[in-house]
Amino acid sequence: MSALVSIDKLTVQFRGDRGWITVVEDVSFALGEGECVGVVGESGSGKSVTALSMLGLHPRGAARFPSGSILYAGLDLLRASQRDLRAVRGRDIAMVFQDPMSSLNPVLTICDQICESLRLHQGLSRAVARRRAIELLDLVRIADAARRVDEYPHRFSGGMRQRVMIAIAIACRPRLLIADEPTTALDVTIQAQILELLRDLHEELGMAVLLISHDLGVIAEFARRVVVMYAGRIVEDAPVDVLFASPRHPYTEGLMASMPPLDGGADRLYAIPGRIPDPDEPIPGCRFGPRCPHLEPVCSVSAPELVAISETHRVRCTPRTRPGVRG
Amino acid sequence: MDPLVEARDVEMMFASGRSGRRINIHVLRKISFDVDHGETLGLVGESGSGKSTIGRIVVGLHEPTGGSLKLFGLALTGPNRASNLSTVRSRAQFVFQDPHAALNPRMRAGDSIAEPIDVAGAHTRRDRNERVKELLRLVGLPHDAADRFPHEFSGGQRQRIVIARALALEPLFIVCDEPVSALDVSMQAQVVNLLMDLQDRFGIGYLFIAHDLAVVRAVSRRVAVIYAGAIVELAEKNALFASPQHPYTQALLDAVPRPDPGRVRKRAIVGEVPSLVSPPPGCRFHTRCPRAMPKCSVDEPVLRETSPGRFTACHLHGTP
Amino acid sequence: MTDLAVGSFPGALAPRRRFVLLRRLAAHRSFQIGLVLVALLALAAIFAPFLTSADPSAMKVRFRFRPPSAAFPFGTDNFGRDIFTRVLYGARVSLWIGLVVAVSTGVIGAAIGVLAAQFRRLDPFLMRCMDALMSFPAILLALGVTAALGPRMDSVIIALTVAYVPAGARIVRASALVVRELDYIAAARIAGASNARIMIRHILPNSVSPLLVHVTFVFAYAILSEAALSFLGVGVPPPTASWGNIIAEGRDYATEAWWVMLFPGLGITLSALGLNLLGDGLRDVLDPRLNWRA
Repeated sequence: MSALVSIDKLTVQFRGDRGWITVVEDVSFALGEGECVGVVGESGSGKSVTALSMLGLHPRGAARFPSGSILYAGLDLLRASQRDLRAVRGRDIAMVFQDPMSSLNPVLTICDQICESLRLHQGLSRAVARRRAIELLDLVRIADAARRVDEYPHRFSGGMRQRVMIAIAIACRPRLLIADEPTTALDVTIQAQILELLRDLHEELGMAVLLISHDLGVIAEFARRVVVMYAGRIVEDAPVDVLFASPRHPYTEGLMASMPPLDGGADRLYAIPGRIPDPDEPIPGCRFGPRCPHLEPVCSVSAPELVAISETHRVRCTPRTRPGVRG
Repeated sequence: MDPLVEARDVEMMFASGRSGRRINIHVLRKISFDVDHGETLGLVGESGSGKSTIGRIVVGLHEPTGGSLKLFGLALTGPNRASNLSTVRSRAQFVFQDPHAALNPRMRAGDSIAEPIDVAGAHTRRDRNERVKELLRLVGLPHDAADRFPHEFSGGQRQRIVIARALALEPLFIVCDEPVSALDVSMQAQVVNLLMDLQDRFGIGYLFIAHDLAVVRAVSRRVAVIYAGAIVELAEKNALFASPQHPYTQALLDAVPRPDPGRVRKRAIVGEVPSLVSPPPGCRFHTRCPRAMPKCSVDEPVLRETSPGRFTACHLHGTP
Repeated sequence: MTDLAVGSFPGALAPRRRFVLLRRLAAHRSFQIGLVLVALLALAAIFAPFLTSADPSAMKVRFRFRPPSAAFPFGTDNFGRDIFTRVLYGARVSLWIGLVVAVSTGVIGAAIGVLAAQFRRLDPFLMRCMDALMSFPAILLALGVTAALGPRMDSVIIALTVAYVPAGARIVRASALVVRELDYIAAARIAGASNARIMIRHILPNSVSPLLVHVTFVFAYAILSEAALSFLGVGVPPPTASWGNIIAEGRDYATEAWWVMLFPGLGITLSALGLNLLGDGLRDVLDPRLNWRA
């Protein structure tokens, strides 16, 4: 499978009070055509920053990329001009954000907002664009689409607004849809509906989906491949069944262990000790070290590398990737 | 001994809009439940269910517009509400969802924790400071945390400060309103464990309000499921999770994503929570219920005991 | 006691970063310039008697209309009074008026704003009063008050305070309305706190940031307004020097003795500029969006 988007050693720095702070370091992974990849991590993991970097959505001057590249169709998205980025955004790569309540412009109708992308990238006339907008609303399962297309966002509930966001995102049949915590702000029954919709659209349209979430359950049910991030770095990258059956990184293990089982049986939950470090906190060696139950002396001395322990499984942990331990 | 909380047919209406265009929103209808000493009652629901309102009513922030509510055996409804509330207020406390909004950003952590003590007024300065140190120790924070401001703490640490404040007057009952939803997964387990340890140690009863079924299961003894302002099922937790009786409970369980890639998923139920301003007739869930019968759009089912200790409000169960 | 923390230790606290806001303020270019300007003017006003030995009201008719020179750095007016001395003493009056108006506006505006937000039944009444006051142009209002109370420095202060309070009250009320809905207010109520405690310890401290910025601008407006009032003859009465009435008196001789109007005018301009820059700096630093961290 040829890579659609290839992220290579991405490093992102934000401007802080006292200079530049590294928030994402050495992130490399590739997304194939039509692939479903999940990125899981907690706050400070850098998962959203990575996604925003793919489309150049950081505020001007606040972020810089000292090294690395994000290649799409021969173009380095990190160093592309605004013109080139605008051509890619919405047409080839689209994004859906977390908070549906603030993602839509309250003074424009739904039709205007969906048609914006269509008219910009495909040059459709008003009438044609409107018809296509109604088709899209049907596609995302909004009832009574022909009437609702002319309404304003405040008449839509959270779940429906998120469907509208998805409609806007897929309007031009992008090759990649990035969904950043698309269901976190929604109720669990609505979440199930939206995830089902995303799955169905992925199958119908054949587009690749990059789903970002902190919820391992959501990732398990949606993704084919999972990238686990912690404190700005990838710590594990594996196919979904391998990851859940036999995680290798202590953080992944800890995360899974601390989820209370829905099927009961737990009196006390396992908790990863400690807390997530601030990006500017200096920690020698592995950034998960202070919280790791399997810490070894080498871990506090040198930062571990992301090593492939099989063709599809990479882990960033020195003790766990020693030769002889692999496989 | 009286239960900690005794709610019978509690109703809550909120008026909204300006005069002339007043709309009444019937947020809670005929809510009945008990919380016993030292036990945790879990309350599960989605947005618009009214679960947060129940929490705030129980702790005295709102007065119910109907029904009866007793806290520690004293009535919070009726003519003696004000005096009863000031009597029992120190024994009931509240833990909030959003640790960022639950602490005054301009007050040091120690002062926030000590506020209930300061308001009660009975302690000397030294005793008060000692108590703050003790509370910080109880929640696992170092005692130089007392001098710091909330923005110097992480979300999980702030939540611990909120819990410390709730413990200040040695309450016997705490309402926890989504106490871990705003925290990272690795923090959630820590705070849940803390709450359970405090219960073991001090015999505190909890009303644990959440939308996360897995967390509710871990902490509760009994669980109540609430939909559109009414309790639809209440049972001991293992019974509820193993064999849910109400279709909404079943739908919730099906909808929760599991960390199990191979699981075969049922299709999600359609529709959304109905408007509380103009709710559907009969059972409020019937518009989304996969097992709705003609009766469901006419008669609203009542919460009935279908077997000892199990209550369900559904025409599929209980005597017709 | 530690058994409760087993397996759940939350990690050490991050090292303290003290006085972040003050440090950011100090690093802000506009704030630096503004602070320097205002400090220089304030010091000149405070130390006026040491900077000049003359009497601001002393008339030396022999030296009328002298242009700026070594003996009279800012020249003299039609009565032979030393403008340099008058401007320095005038600074005392103008800056004092500005300061008192700014502080009074802040305090009264904050009180009204918090009360209006807290007591919903009082709110419409208070806000309508504020609306009524706001609908008068500040100068007209000031004219009215001065006419009623007689031309004195106090009248000017009262008039300007009355004119500027409504804006401050609105600003605080807007913040306070938002703060009221936050969970820590509910927490205080659950703890049994009285309305007074909630207003003073919780709502007020968290609603005043925008007011602080506004108050620095009010300081500047007050100085400008005092000048306008004096120009109209209803400000600080002569012979007391204030920047406004020096300009007023110099109006008639504008072409012959331009220096009489220039130097107090410069004083007004520089203090207004300095205060505006201070206010800009405060606003930028206090803006919650800029405190967002990655």
